Amino acid sequence: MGELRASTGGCVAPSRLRHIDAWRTALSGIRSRSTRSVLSSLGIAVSIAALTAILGLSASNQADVLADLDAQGANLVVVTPVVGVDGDAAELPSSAPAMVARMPAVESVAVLRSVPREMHAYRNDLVPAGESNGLTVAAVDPGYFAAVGAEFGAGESFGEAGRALPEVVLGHEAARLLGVDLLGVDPLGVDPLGVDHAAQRIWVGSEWYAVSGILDPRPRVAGLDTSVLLGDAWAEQRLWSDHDASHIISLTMRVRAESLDTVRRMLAPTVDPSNPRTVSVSNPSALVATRAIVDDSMSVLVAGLAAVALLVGAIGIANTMVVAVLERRGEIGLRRALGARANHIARQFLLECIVLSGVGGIVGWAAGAVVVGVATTVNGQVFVLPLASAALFPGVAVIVGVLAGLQPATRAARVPPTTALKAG
Amino acid sequence: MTGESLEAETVLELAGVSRSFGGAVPVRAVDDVSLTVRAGEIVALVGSSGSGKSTLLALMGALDVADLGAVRIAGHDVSGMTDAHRSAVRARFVGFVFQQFFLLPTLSAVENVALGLLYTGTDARTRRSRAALALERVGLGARLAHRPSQLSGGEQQRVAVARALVGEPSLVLADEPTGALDSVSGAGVMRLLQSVAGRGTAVVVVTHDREIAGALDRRIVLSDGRILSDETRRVAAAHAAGVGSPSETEGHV
Repeated sequence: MGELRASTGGCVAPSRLRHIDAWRTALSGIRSRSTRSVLSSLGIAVSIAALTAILGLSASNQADVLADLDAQGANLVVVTPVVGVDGDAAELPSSAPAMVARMPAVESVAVLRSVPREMHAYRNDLVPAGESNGLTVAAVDPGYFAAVGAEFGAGESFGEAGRALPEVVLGHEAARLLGVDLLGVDPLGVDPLGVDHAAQRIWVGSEWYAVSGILDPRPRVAGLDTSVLLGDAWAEQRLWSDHDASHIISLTMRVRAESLDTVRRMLAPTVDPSNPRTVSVSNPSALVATRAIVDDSMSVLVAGLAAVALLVGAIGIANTMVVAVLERRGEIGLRRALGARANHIARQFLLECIVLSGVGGIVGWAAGAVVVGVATTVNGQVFVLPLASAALFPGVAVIVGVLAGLQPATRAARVPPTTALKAG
Repeated sequence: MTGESLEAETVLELAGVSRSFGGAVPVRAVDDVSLTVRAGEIVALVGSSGSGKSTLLALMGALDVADLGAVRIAGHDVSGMTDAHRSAVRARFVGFVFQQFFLLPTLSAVENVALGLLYTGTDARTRRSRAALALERVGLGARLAHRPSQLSGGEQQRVAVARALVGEPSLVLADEPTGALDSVSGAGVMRLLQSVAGRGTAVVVVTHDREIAGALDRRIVLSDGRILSDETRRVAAAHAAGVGSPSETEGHV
């Protein structure tokens, strides 16, 4: 104190505020008006929570729908022969399954083969021939069930051993109509209780067939629920009279979802290179598209509401700042007197905006994530929330906060120090 | 003042300074003022309200910019400076004390004092330790953690003085520092400011209190923005004669 300063006529370094001190100053400014700060932060938090919830819920929904559709068969493509003018279905070439299996995006191929048209399935040999219940009888290989994604509700596939035996697998509805439930039957066929085995067999064509398994309902694979499926080796040996024909009435392929369109375009020429026009290819993706459109329209609506909420949050922050600048003129004057530059003052108010909106954004994102978590748990869905939103949404909040605080902060910086000090 | 202080360095120099306000018919709040204040001097700036005291004080502290003339603080001419440099002059060379104290209510005494170093780029730890020292110097070493609301008016103003002193300024400018205090607290603050001057800092006190003004070494009377008189007296003579008679004059009018 006692030392006398030399009169240096030279330059003075500009006054400076360390970054850490600028942040501390902003935080202490916020703490001095905690209630109002919390409220204005809350406005931002609510809107960010809404945005996060929308994003998470629609993403979870979409993932769920896609998983559901994949499980149901949205990634299943069915190839059938075009029905001819005489009403008779043509057959697909016998080379078709091998050709299709060679396509890289095809994960599995299931082949459905015809049996003689007069073969129908009945509960027993006493049922009149006309009461066929509209059930379809067809021949398949043992891999068919896995290839179409069907699961067994009871029993199991006839397997390689049963492929050449009089055994059948029933679709869910077919089993109900034929009165077969397989309850009380040991999967290995050993029956210690001596249940009447007659109840577990059906009458097909002119022979008894043992029921080895019953499928769960699977409406996505057309006709499967009302099918009676017997082994293709059995059909080959006992049912088909024309052994040169392929008897293929449909191919069901599981295709990687992302290659669905490409595969669909190439399928007809692959299945029957000489007559691609006789091949009909199903279009399961139309369903996916429909569901996605429904989802999107919901998202747009709620996103609109969230945008309004964000605007209200921004107004809240702007209002808090405008009031703060008016209330804290004395403090502004003091800080200028202590050596703050105009832009130090502006920076202080802008940092307060950034903290308020940033905290609001982070809290809002977390709240939104909780909402998504609860909703997906309750609905039994998969929790999906793009991780980028954890950075993106608080970032959006901060940008909104800065825009809202820009005008008040500039105004605070422009107040002449002498005027500000008079106000105190 | 004693002979040695006449040799002391000039801390504040105003040369032909004018400042006008208003629109169509501007009012000259400060009109062609020239004066110098040396290190260790304590000056009373008196005058009726509206005489331009506060405006002049703001010009002296580089809070405001003169329309005409030059203001030199610790050798730096602030007239042509940018806001950043003028702010640096305030931060490094000037300490302000206000009638309303301007303590931030949510900060403790030591935090309020540390604010005096905030815009010098000093790190937080140093700011705090120097603030604690400054508070001890004003007799509030036991009140570091108190909030302004827990302190008396006189104590609050001493915290404000400590904040002005913490940066070891060349010049302390006090605007009615006793205006909000009772006479006992006010006298305490004035003694404090006199001891500050005694350690070599130039002090300018704006006051309308004749008693306070009379107790100081030098008195500048302002009227309508102009210096009416500028008198310096020997402290010893002033003490002996009560009111005292001028023995030295440093007028610039």
